[in-house]
Amino acid sequence: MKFNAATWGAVLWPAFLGAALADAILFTLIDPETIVLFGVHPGVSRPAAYTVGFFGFWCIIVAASVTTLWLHADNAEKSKYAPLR
Amino acid sequence: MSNVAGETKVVSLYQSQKKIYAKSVVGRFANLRVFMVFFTQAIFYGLAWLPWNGRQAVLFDLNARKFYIFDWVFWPQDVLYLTFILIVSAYALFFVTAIAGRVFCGYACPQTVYTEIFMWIENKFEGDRGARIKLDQSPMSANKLWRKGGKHFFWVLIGLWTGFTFVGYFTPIHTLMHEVLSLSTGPWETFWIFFYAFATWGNAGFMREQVCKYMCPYARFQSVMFDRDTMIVTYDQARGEPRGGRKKSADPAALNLGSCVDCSLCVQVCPTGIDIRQGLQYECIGCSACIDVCDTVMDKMSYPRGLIRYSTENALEKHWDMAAIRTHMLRPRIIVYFSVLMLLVGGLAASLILRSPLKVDVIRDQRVLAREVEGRYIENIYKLNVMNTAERAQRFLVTVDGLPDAEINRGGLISAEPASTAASSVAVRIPVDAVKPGSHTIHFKVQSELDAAVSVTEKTVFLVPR
Repeated sequence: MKFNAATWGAVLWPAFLGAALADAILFTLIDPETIVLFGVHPGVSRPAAYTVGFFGFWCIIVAASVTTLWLHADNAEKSKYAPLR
Repeated sequence: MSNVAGETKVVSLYQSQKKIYAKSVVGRFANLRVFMVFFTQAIFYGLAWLPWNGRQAVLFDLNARKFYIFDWVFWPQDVLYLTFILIVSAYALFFVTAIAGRVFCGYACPQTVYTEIFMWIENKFEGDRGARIKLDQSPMSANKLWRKGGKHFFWVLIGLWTGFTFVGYFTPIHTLMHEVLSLSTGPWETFWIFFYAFATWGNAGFMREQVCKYMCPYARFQSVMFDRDTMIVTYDQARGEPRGGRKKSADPAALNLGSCVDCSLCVQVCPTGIDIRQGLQYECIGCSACIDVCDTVMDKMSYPRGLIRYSTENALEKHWDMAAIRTHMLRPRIIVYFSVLMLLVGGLAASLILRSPLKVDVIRDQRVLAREVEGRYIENIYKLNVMNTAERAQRFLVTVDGLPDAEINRGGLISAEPASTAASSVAVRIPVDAVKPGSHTIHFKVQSELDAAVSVTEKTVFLVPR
């Protein structure tokens, strides 16, 4: 699977929207100031948590999308020789 | 959406696309787009500065976890309202798309609007299509540096202002302005201003139509809203073909030619670089630049306008006029979309009007379940969290009922600041032996002193020990 700019764009933008949605849902339900990680309050500000959360989600969704693309291309390549019916 | 001929076209996704040099265009639809640029951006850049009730009219205050939209204050608990607003917006978009095609894409989408602004600047510095192609091919010179540099200077400026405004919707914009002027913005604000500025610069300056063609999910799925009666930008093939060049004085019928003079201007102005004469294509964002430019050519040739025009697939096939198109607009799909949209809008409006400006949360004190006080009473302690969503300070009176002779010993009056929460420890007591041991249902009624209609009743239990 070759990844060119258009492919990366198609991966990044829907993932961006998905990350914004996931971040909004998570932090609507949970106030970052009440989060306790491994028994310790991390002491990060709300904007910091929102930002880190957003980019965290973005990375995860991008990783999943890229994996799907790669697997899909691989499967399509295989089914060319042995059609999956 | 397929090609007119129905042939399969191989679209390479693996090679970098040719840069598109869209020629600038004047005309009715271009004017409409310029108007929409000013209209949408006056709202975007201006609304952040609008004062309301002594604060910013529209502010999604992420730091305080409160959203202000004119008279309304939304708390995280109100997330359903915001979800509802998003659903209504999406449905309105579907409704409009089913009738008029991609008018959102062509006139109101931020991608189109910022591209339009950036291309206007590009035009000012580098000239129109021909000049830009020449400039890009020429070696670096002082002239090229000045033209490219000037363009990027203004692009970056607009990008930064856009980023600043964007962040100004999430943190009070006046405070943000002072911080920017004194170079003391917080790390996250700084990051988001630059991130959004960079995205604007990249999207409107470089990616442009690539976003619509390769990245936008809406561009792909909006075709499900389309049918044969949806308004689209169309080329009247029956009238235009066979295409070919000719003198203005020539009689096309004698030359066996259609109205299309094959000037290729419709291709040159297209921001996505397609040829509309090949039929409806998914790349078409419905911007109508080709309509405008073709109309000018038709005028020059003294042919009737509208060789490329807004029409529907059915209208083109059956040679309907505008009146016939309008009568066919009212079809089951539109009626269903409209009814659902009205239901949603009605539901949203009703729930916003009926929304109580008071929310109450009752929590039993876990440390003291029940105790005997002064030898005569059984006392239970509750924690009442009161959310005053109104933008005025209020006092709330707490009363209790459900048990005979139940009274509130302390904490029965709660003061709350505007748009904030207040907590009170409320002690309820009843005379010993008034009721049997066990748990009894009681109701707290919390009522505003200013407005008796503002009240909330919450259920909880009162424990009487054995």
